[in-house]
Amino acid sequence: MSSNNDSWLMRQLLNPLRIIIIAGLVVAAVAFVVHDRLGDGRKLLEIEVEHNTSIDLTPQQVRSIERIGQWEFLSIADEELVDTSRQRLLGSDDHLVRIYRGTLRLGLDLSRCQQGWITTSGDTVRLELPPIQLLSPHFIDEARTEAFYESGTWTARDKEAMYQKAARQMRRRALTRDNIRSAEANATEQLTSLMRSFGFQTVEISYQSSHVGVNTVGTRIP
Amino acid sequence: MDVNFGAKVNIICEKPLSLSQKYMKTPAFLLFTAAITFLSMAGCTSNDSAVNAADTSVAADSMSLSDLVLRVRATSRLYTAEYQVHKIVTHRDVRRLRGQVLGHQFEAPLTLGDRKVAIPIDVTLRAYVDFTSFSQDNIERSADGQTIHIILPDPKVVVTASRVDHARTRQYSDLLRSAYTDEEMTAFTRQGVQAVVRSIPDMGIIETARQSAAATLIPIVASLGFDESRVVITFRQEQYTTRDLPRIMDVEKKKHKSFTNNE
Repeated sequence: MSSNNDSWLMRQLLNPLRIIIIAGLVVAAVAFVVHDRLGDGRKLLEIEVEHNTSIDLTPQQVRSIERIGQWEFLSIADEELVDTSRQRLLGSDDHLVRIYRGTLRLGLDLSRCQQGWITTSGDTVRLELPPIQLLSPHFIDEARTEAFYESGTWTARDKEAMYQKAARQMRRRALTRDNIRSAEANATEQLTSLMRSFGFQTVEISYQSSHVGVNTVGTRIP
Repeated sequence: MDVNFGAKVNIICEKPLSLSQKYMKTPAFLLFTAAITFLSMAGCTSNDSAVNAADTSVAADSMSLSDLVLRVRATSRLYTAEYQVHKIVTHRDVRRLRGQVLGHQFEAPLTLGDRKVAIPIDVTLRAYVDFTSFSQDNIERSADGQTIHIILPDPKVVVTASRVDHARTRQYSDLLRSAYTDEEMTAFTRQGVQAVVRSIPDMGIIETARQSAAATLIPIVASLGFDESRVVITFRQEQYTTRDLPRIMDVEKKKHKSFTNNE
């Protein structure tokens, strides 16, 4: 009977699954002890993974310095969701979704004012201003772009196409007749206030016809 | 008793159970599961914040996705200077295992292979004078009425655009490493622009903006009938350092510096 009991016990102990379980328990116990602090406050084992997420220190170059005279009267902050996909023969399709952010600034480029655009007569001043326009063709802050979803590999050309698409959408949404009128109304209000500060009682402001030109980015103002 | 216990187990195991179902019922398995669960909780304590942060960012992403709107604001800003800054943002991905065993420090590379990226970016900075709160209080005339003194708020600087040169972006990943994701590259770009912003006080853009504002405004005031040589534009005068960056956005008047048409 005793021999039978011993052989049953050995069979139980030598069962491969039980060996794994016992080994797991031993590992767990050791890990628990290791994780705990020693009496002097130091850890028996302390491991950390160091992963640098910061960019390197690199120089920068000021490529151009330009003195400008542009008066902004309306700013339009916009966000555009742009996505693209590519079909694959095998597996799921590739997708890239990015959210672009930018601010379009509408106002007057004073360098486009014609000679004699300011005339005075007594307490009256007349301003003949160029049309309201988009002040800069570069309005997307790509550093604020959000990489929303990405699967698959995408080339520089794909991202450039998405950037251009976002820029087109932003122009279309921002350069509306209402926004142009709002900017013009605000310009009139602000410049009238400014001229009155200089002592003029009557301020007459006119704008050159917007259909005369196309703005600096080649987008016709509606 | 042992035999009976074993027989009892055998009786239970007469049901057609799979191997995994069979051992899931054993006390040893339950103990093992509890130990693993405990270890997982203990080992992942430091990662919980990262998981929570990831959850939070996902929630924020969802909000921004539904928040794609135009924000239109009436302003009155005279932009007087524009700087184009070019920078090549680089990153070397280093993962190392660092720690100590019984007080002995050790450090070892965690991943085999290397990966690096270089991202050329162009940042457009513009300086402007805010005329939103400009009023008659900003204009002083001399007693004889011949000299006009215009006090302007100090110029402020804004990043109006940043652009990644995707075509010239280069990344190198060894076979055992994955390529940089779009999200990682965007984060590096953001850091690059922040580095450019931190260097604004060293660029002299504020001084350029002051001089340009004077050069723009003095002819306008002269056109209103004032003697050009007696128009004085005044700004606060102060050297800017990195600590002044927040104040460039919200400036208090202290000392003043004047410009005339002769400058």
